[in-house]
Amino acid sequence: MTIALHAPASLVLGLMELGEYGFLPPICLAIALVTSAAHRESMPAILRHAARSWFVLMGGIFAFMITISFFFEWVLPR
Amino acid sequence: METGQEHPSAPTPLPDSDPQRDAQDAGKDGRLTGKERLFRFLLGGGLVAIGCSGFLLSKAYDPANRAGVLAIAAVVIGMIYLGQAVRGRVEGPVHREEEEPTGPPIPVEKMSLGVFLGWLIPGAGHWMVGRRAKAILYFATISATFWIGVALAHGRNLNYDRDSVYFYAYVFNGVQTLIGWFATRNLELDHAIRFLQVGYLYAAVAALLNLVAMMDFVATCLRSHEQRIHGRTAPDTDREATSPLEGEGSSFAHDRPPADKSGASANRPGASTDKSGPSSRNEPGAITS
Repeated sequence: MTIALHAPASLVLGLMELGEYGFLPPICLAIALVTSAAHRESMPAILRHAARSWFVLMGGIFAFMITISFFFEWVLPR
Repeated sequence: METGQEHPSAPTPLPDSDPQRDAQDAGKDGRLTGKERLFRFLLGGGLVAIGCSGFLLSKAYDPANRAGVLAIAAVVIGMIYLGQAVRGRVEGPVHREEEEPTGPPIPVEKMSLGVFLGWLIPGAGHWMVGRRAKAILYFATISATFWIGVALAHGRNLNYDRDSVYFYAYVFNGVQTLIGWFATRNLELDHAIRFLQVGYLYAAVAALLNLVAMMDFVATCLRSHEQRIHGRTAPDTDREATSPLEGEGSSFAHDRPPADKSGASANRPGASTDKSGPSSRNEPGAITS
C-alpha cells in the first residue's frame, strides 16, 4: 500500500519540481493542438480532439512512469 | 420509414439504416473485427513490452538519455493500440469531409504560395486563404513552443556548429529561426544550463510542427478542390468575405457552384464530427487523411 502510494506521489512531486519530465505536459499539449488542427476543420472539433489526444498522451506517459517507479521501488530492491 | 414494424414501440429506423448492411460494414466506421482486435492487442502489447524493456535495459530512465523519449513513445503508442483492442473500435477516419468548410473554396493555384508563406511564418498560408482561426492556432502554438525552447536554452540552441542535427529541424520554422539565429549567433556555451536539452527539444518539435501545418495546408487545398468538384461549398450567404479570393476582382468569386439546398443531400455534413456518421464519408473522391 505504501509502495503503491509512494510511486505516484514521487512522480507528482517530481513534476512539480519541474524536473526534466515536468516539461512533457506542455510539449504534449503543443503536439496535440497542432496535430488535431491538421485533422479537423472547426475549432470546437479541434479543441475536443486535442483535449482527448492530450489526455491519452499524458495518461500513457503517467502510467508508464508509475509502472517504472513501482518497478524500481518494489521489484528491483527485492 | 420502414413498413411492417413488428413492435409498436420499436424505434423507427433511420431512412438509410440497414442492419444487414451495417453488419457487413463491420471493420468500417471505426469498428474492429475480431482479427483486427487481436492484431492490435498483440501489436500494442509488443510495443509496450519493447518500450519498457528498452527503457530499462538501456538505462534510458536517465532523463538526460534521449533514447528514453523513443521508449516512452513506443509505450504510449502501444497503449493506444491496446485501448483500441479493448474498446473494439478505433477513432474513425478523419471526418473532415463531414465538417462544414470553414472558409471559402481555395484555388489549387494558390497552394504553392501558401506553403511558402506557411514555411516563413506558421499559419500564414491558412490566413491567406481565410482559415483565420486555424492560422492563429498554428502561429500561437508553434511560436510559443519555439521561443520557450530558446528561452530555456538561454539562446544557446540555435547554433549550427554546436548541434547541427537539431538545426536541420529548425529550418522548417523559417523567419523565426532566422531571427533567433541572428540574435544569438555570438552567444557561447560558457555556463551550465540546466534545461538546455529541453530547449533543444521544444524548438525542434515546434519547427517540425510547422511542417505538419504546411502539410495540412496542402491537404486543405486539395480537399477544397474536391469539394468544389462535388458541388459542396461553404455557407457564406450570411458572412462577409474574409479572403481576397472573394473580392470583387477575383475571377474565383464568379466560379463558385450554387449551394446545394436539397434536403436529401447526402453530402451535407452534420454538426457532429466525432460520431460515426452516414456512409457519406466513404463517397468516391472524398479525401481522407
